[in-house]
Amino acid sequence: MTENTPNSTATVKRRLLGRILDSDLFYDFSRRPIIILSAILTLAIILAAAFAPWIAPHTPFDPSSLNLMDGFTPPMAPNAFTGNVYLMGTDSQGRDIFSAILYGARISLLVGFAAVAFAAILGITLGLIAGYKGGWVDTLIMRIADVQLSFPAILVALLIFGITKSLIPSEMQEQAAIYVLILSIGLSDWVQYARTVRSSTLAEKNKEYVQAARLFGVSSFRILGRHILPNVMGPVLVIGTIGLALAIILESTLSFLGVGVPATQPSLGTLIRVGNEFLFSGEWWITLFPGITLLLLALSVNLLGDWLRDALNPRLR
Amino acid sequence: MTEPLLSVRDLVVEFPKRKTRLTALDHVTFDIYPGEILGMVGESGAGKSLTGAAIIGLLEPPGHIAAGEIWLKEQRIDKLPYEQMRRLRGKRIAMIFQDPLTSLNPILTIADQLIETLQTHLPLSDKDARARAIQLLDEVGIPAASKRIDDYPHQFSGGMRQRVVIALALAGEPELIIADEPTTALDVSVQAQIIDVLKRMCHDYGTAVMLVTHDMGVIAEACDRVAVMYAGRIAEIGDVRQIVKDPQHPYTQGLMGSIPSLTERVDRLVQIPGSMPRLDAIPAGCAFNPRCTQQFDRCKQQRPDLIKTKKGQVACWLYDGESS
Amino acid sequence: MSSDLLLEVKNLSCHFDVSKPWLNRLIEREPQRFLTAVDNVSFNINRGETFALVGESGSGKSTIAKLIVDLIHPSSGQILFDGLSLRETQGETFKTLRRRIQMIFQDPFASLNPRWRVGDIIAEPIDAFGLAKGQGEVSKRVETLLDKVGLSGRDQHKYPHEFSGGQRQRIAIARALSAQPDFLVCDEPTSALDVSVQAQILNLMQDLQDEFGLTYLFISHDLSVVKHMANRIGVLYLGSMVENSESDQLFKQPAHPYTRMLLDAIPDHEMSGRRRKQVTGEIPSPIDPPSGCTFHPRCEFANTKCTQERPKIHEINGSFVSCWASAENRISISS
Repeated sequence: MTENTPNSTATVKRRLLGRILDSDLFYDFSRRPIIILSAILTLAIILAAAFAPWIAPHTPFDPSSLNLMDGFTPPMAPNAFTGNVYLMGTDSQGRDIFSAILYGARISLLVGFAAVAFAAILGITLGLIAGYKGGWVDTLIMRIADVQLSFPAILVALLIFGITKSLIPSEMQEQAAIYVLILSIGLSDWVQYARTVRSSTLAEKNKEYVQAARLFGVSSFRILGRHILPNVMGPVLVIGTIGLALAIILESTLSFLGVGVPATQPSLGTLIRVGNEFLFSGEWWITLFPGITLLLLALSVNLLGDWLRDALNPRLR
Repeated sequence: MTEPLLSVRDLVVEFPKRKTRLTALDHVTFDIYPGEILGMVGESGAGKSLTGAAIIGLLEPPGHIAAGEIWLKEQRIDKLPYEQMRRLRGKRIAMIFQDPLTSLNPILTIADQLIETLQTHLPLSDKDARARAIQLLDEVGIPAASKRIDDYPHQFSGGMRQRVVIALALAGEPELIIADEPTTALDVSVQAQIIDVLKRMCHDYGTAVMLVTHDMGVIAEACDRVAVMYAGRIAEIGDVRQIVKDPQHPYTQGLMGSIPSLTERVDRLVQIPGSMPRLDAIPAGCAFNPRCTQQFDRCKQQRPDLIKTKKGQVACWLYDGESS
Repeated sequence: MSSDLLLEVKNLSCHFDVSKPWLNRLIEREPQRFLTAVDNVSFNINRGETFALVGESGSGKSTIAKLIVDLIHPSSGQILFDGLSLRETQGETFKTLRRRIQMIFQDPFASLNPRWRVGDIIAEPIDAFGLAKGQGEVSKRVETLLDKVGLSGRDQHKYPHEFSGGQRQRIAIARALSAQPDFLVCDEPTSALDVSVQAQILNLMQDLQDEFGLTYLFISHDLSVVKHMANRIGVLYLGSMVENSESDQLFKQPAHPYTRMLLDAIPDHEMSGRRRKQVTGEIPSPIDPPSGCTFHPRCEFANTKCTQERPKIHEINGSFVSCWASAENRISISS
């Protein structure tokens, strides 16, 4: 039997890649130019944000590197005083907008991913417990979810943001702001995951493979983790993708309203807010470019999520 | 012999996949004569339901008829435009499905559905249609038909619903009924009653039936002739008695032997080794050859067509010399 | 075949609460409603034999299966396995008892976790009960089991979707066997399979029974399968056991009118010309079953006593029958 024993990790990896390239999902993907474009765009923005310190021509939030003389330089035109040219112009402080966007997208994506991860972990856990245990535990969790759903997400996020901030001493607020933001967005968004996971769990737990595991005396914890969880992750992936776009937009909205990240670490939303002040005095580029970036990012992530949902749903294919 | 009512000639149904084309029905040829019940038997994936769907024009896309002809008397029906096919359905060919709930509209009463079907196909006044509907329900054995006709489908039990479906199928007085596993969802004691109703009604109305089932018991109870399908092809066609008592094709022999007997005690059941090939891995030559105990070289190379023997028709090289 | 007792089921009953939520009940002033899935059922299974439960939908046969393996809990009654009850033992005794009673499920497409490799599926009980030490020994055991059920050792690296229904059922059997049980509850193990595959699985189950000395509780709606497999048969109707006899006796001289009706309902697939009576009626709802003997509305021998009093079990020719007409000799026992 030696020739049949598990192969080296290299061949396993090669086989995995082969399986992905051969899958129906990839085939469907390869036939949709808009989805490919969305994927490329999303990936490009994520990579650019991740490597911002290496890509960005300037370090926009280091006050010592800023030259006030460069302020309000229009895009692709030499500054009247210094002659410097900026791809997307500069703001009132002489900050390079392009660099600011790269750093801003970094914050936006960080908050987005972290909030989605937080919401997903919380939602999946509660959904699994509610679906598997049933009874009053289920009723309790799902009623809380219902109550929360009856408020708009932004209201919930604002509320949590306000409460959490008031609990933190003022000298730490600056540093804690991002974490508070992640927490409030995450807490406002777990319901979707919990509901979806609960209904999948309800279906899975009555399947015979779960009953079989119970006959082997496998603990509920193990059944949930090893048996049910892997089988309910499909829909979570879809919600997570669409949720990422929503979280980024929610973060930008909060930052635009001035309750999000502080101006010393601006996200895309903060950049838009700051630029908004100059919109009517003719310096359109300060708000337009961050706005376009946010739009493209949210749109392409959303398109990817929609496509995933349709592609993974066998009834629509 | 009389002219066949339905004549299927070299029917090929294909499902295009992204790399290949799956041939789900491969040159299927058979006839149904007026008033007879032809059984289509085979295991899941053999193509028996697909044959019914192809005849009535309800193949699920991307499946399509790639070759062959289907004739209903003098009319060729495999290339009919959608609208003409729709008019033909119910009027000349009716269909009965496995789950009676899917063929009944849950928000309409039985009267609504039966009367509508009757008036679509026959020139009847409201009053006459209702009387005819009650008569039909009475004939299929629904007690107190004149009262129950105004009930909704969910108020009927499974067996009663399937009786209603039979009444619906007969409403347009079709020449052919395709019944796809009509008793599979029912309990044994109800199954026998439904077979009886189907047999009696079709005999009374002179309707021919193509009865698709995996259950040899149903076949033996109801059918006049049987076609045995394997991997999208017909393995054998013959008189029901011959198929049950004296099957010719090695596959049919194995199939019959694998059913536990009620009359005699056997220690071990006959078993056919392996399982039916998937549509993307049908072997060359005779599709059954890797599982066949009597196969020889020719079976691996050349596909046998249906050969007429003294007993019936069989697609097997063992009978090559015997054609009559 | 030794004839000592292995499983003892005593006065087993199971009711399900099928009422609406309490708030709706309160508002609509409706009482609580119960479905009697199993009603005072008793039977014994001897070591090494195959006992079959037959019945149509709503007869409670699958509920009994789940009760015996303790997937659901009885409303009353006892299930003793070698004199011990799963519900009353603890610790090591419980673990051993748990291991000895395993189950094969109906749907081989739902009984295997689609995200697990076959090897991991079969190894699950081995790990859970600590039956082998080390990865190498577990893997060897999985290979032996796969071989026993007619698959190959290299199949352990594949996923369930790569197998046909019959092969999946073989994997499910291998998994049940890997716990080294001596009692297997088989809940319609072949009803999702094609006949030629059914024959393979039935033959395999018989071979394994001989090899490992297994005892089977075989649950089916198919009387011809049951006749082929079972030594003793219990016939269920609406949660009650109406007849319990030796297999040959049941087919030769069915004592209960329902058993006779079931036999008459089986199609004569061999065209043997077996004489049969017309079958009538359908199974009533188990939520609101008929009074007295639940079979009386469909029974040609029913009289007023049958409509009022529940029949008691009595013995004729080694069969246990629950029928007034039979007890009072109102039906002739003939073949």
